[in-house]
This record gives sequence, structure tokens and C-alpha cells, in this order.
Amino acid sequence: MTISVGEVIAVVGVEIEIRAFENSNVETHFFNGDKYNGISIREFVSIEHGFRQIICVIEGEYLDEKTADKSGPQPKYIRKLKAKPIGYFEDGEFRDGIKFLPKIGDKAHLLSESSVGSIFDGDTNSQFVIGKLLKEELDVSLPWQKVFNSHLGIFGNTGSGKSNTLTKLFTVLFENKIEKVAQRSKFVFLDFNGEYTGEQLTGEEHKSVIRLSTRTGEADKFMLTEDEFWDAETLGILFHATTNTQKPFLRRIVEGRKTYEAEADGLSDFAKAMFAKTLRSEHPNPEALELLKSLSTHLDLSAELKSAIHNVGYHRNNSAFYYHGNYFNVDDATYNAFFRELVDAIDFAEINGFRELQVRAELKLISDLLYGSVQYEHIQPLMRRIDAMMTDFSKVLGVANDDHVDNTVTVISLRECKQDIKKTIPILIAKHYYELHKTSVQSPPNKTMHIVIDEAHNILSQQSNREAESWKDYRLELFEEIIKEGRKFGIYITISSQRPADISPTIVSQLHNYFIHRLVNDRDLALLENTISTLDRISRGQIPNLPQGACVVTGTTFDVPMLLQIDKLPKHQEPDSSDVNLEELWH
Amino acid sequence: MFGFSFADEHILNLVKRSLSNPELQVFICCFKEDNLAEMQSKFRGFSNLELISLEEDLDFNAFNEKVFSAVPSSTGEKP
Repeated sequence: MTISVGEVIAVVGVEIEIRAFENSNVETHFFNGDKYNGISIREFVSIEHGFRQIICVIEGEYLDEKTADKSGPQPKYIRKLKAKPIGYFEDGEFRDGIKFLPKIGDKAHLLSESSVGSIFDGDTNSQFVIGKLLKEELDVSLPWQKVFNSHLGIFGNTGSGKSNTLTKLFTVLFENKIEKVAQRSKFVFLDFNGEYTGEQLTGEEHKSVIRLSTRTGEADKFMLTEDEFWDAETLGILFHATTNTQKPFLRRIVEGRKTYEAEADGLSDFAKAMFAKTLRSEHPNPEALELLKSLSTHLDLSAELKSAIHNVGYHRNNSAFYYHGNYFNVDDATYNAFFRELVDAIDFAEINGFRELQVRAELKLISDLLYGSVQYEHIQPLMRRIDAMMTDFSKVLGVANDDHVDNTVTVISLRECKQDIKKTIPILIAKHYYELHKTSVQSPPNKTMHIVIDEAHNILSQQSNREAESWKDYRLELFEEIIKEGRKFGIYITISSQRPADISPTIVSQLHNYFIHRLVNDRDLALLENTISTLDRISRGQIPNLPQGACVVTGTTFDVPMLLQIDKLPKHQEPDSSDVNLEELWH
Repeated sequence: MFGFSFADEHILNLVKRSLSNPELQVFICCFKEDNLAEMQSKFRGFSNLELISLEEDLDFNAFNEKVFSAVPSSTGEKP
């Protein structure tokens, strides 16, 4: 039998009051060589109730005056404890939930350190240890089977140890299981600050790093397949197309491309036709002419044609084009004299990627203008955006039909990308992997995809003044879909952020498990209170005062919230995000 | 108690009897590593007793620095 420290004197609802015995105010007890922690807040006691042991957590203690008549003039105080049941031991196994409540008179016992450990991990054989219990300093093995098939959230102020926790979590997984994981699962790390591009996470043979950069053209590129790139939705994302006019326009381009895909010189013929149509049109269209001029600079055309087309002007009074004083008339004399030969000679090398998009967009717009089926003013902003953003995008995105197989771990570093690229590319990457996985997975899932987003507030923020409403909706919708539906396809998201309040509440509340480091801000704490049902009052109260590296671990996988001190990774494995050592820097 | 080898049977039995109190925790620091096995056989079966031995011979300096300190460099083992 263990040390008895008190007895139950009241049970009100799920609140249990225990009268503590005289011996209870000792820090440590020894019994048969086992160490027991004395009673204090957040300590566990077990209340014997028949064959079961009900485990309660101490929530408060106070002194009460004893009101016995004969105790004389001196009042006598007794120590009372307030406790809340969290689960029970049956057949030597811990089960969570309040199924039984103690009765008055039941004895409360201390729990030995080893039984406290078994509350937190049901299965002590597994080797998935990422840290120790903060108070008891016991190693706790997390049930990895249930942690990695859920969406994870890691929150905490800067410098509270988020990145270390994230890295530790996956490093331990890869250390234990990389061989088995490698065939079945893919891990994608979206790394905004280039923290994981070194020796972190796992060895070189299982990890590939894609360093995207908008500064130089020679950096790595994120490869999209042609089908993915020539998708109205994708293009819409990239160029922030408006839903009502610009998206349908993009869709028409994509469809047009598909229709004429089989023809070898499809694009050249299209260009020829547009040159001829514009110049020979009965209702000359000055906007189409301008587009032709800009098109000619984007294409590999003969110098004569380029200079010729730039010398064509529009005479407003006559509503006609002229070339060196000659008007283009219905009889086609000017066209035949100066242009026919040049236009017929158009034959340019195959282009692809963003340049092809731009050319196709211009050609399509010309043709739409000539048929009068489009308002130039509505589409023109899109053309401007394509022109402006193309250079940056083509530095980080590539279009190619290669079927290489990704490594188990892919780290995509966005450290050297411009701010707007940082916002756009992750959506594209997430979409790429989501669709790729969704179309190839069987049911039930025979493989899994894990998307890890560090500093997630960068792309999942609820409010942003810089971007259009529709774009924000799309961005959030995609991630909300992944997080809502992904579980069925075996797609899991891990997000880490210092501002959980900025992240869309839908996303935060759909996460399954949380590692919460120190958080001070009121709004962040209020959000946690509202969205995380498994977080109890005491654990929540501790969040603002957690030391570095310590976190509250809670969620559907864990029976009880636990305070975990995450082990620090060795120097070469830790993410490149540690504090600056000023003593060294300013010596 | 210092410098006692538990060779005196009367005192040994007294200590053993007191060990039947489960709330008592006893630590024995062995003078030499050789003593460890001897003590283990003497106190077999008592779970509330820990034996501590150092790699070097025990003297007061070693005792103060390595055993009787807040961060002991040696931990006990059970017989």
C-alpha cells in the first residue's frame, strides 16, 4: 500500500475536497525505496475507490478553521485540497475521462513517479522521446502512431523554443523510422527563413533542399508540370486574376492551347493570323495594334518586321492605320506591299513557361478584341501584372514534364524571396502537393503526405491589408480544405506560429494536437481558450510563464495536458534560429 | 554514521530491523568498490536502501564533493 495523505470530505459536481493529514506537507516522501512527490498544485493523487484508483489533479489548497466545540479558545486549522478527477487506473492501465467519482471517506494516496509517467504515456516501450515532464523530470515517450496522423500546431512567442520543438519532433521520427517512412511518406517543409537547409532533420540521402531565390536567376526552381501550370486556377493564383472577367479569360487561353496542342506550329500560325487580321481589319483597333507591338518585342521575330510594326500608326480622324504615309485600305495594297512577306515568314522557336503564357495572353486578347468579345480595360490590368511579375516568378518556378520522384524530405527555402513571392509560392506548393497526393492515393490511404509550415502566420493570416479580398479567400480556402479534408487522404499539416490569433480560427480549431510554448499576448491566449477544448484551466494559466523550451502538450492524442520540457538538439541539428550571442559578437 | 563497516552483527540487525519501516530511506556509501558486493549480499531484498560507491576510495573530500552535494556525480543502486 502506498502513502495515504488524506481523505475525501466533499464531492460537489466534479470538484472533490480532500482533508489532508498532518504528514502531507512534506516535499518528498519515500516508501519502500520509491520516491513520491508531496502534495502541491498540479500534483496527482489517486483516490482508492473499490478496485479502481481515481486519479485527480490538485487544483488548490487552503486552510479551514475547524469548528469543533471542544477545541478550546485556540482555533485549529485543517488543510484542505481541491482536486479534479482526470481519469482512473483499471487493471493497471490508465484511462482518461471522468467515469467514476469517489465517495466521502475514500482515502487519497500519493502516486509514485513511475505511475505518473504511465498517466502520460500509455505505452512506455516505444522510443519516441522528445523531452521530459517539466516537473517530474521523467522521460515521456509520445505515441507517435497517433501524433503523426493528425494535424499539429506549435505555438509560442519568439525565442520560446518553437523551432526546436518542431525540429526535434521530426528529427526523432526520422532517427527512429526513416527507412520505413521513406517508402510510404513524403515530408515537405516550407521554410521561410532558411532554418532547415543544413544538417537538420535527417541525413543528406533522404533530404533534398530547394533554395528559391528572386535575387539571382541561377537558384533552384520549383518545378511544376505542364498540366499544373496550364491550369486557369493556378494562373489565377499567380497573377491575382479577378473572378468575373480575368479568370474566364485565362480559362479561354488554357482551353485554346489545349485545342491546338497537337499542331506543331500552332502558336506561329496563331501569331501570323493575328498580325494579318489586325492590320487588315475593316475596323482598325488601336489597342490591338499596341498589343501587337508589345507582342513583337516578346517574340523572336525578324528585325524588319519588328521595326515595321513599330512604325505603324493610327490616324484617329480617318480611323485607319498608316505606314510611312500609306493608309491601310480595304484593298490591302499597303499590307501586301510592306507586310505580307514579313508576316508569312514568322516562324519562331518553341517557347514555354511564362513567356508562352504572356504571348498566348496577348494573342488571345488581340483576337478577342477583334471579335469584340472582350473589354480591353478589364483585361489590361492582368496583362500588366503578368508582365511585371513574370521575371520574379520565372526565377523561382519552372515548367517541365519530368517525372522525378521527390526525396522523403523536401525543404523549400524561401529565405531569399521577395515578400510577395513568399506569400504566393507556398500556396502553389501546397496545392501542387495536395493535388499530386490526392489523385494518386488509394482509399484507405496507402501513403501519407506531411506538409510542415514554419512561421505559418506568413501565409495563413486572417487579416492582411495588402492583398485583395478574393485572393485571401482563396488562400485560406485551400488550406482550410487541406486541413478539413486532408486527413481522409492521408495529408497532414503541421503549422508553427508565434501569432495564433492571426491565423484563421477555422484552421487553428481543426488542428488535433497542440504544443504550446510561452505565449503572453491576450488575444493569443483568448484564442487558445476558445478553440482548444482539451486545454484545462491550470495548464492554460501556466502558458504565460513557461520557461524556454517548455510547452503544454494537449490534444486528441493525449489523455491529459502535460507540461513537457523539450530536449535541446545538438548544435549541428538545431535550426538556424538561435539567439545572437552578444557577448561573442561584441567582445 | 561514519566509518562503520556493518561487521558488528548487533548493529547490523538493528539497522535491518529499522529498514522494515517503509517510510525510511537509507543510503550507504561504500568505502571501496569491493565493498559494494559485500553490502549487496548483506542487504539483499530491501528496496528502501541504496548503495553508493565511488570509483576512488571514499574520504571526506570525495564524500562532500561527489556524494553529499546538490548535484551528486554518482547515483545509488539498489541491492
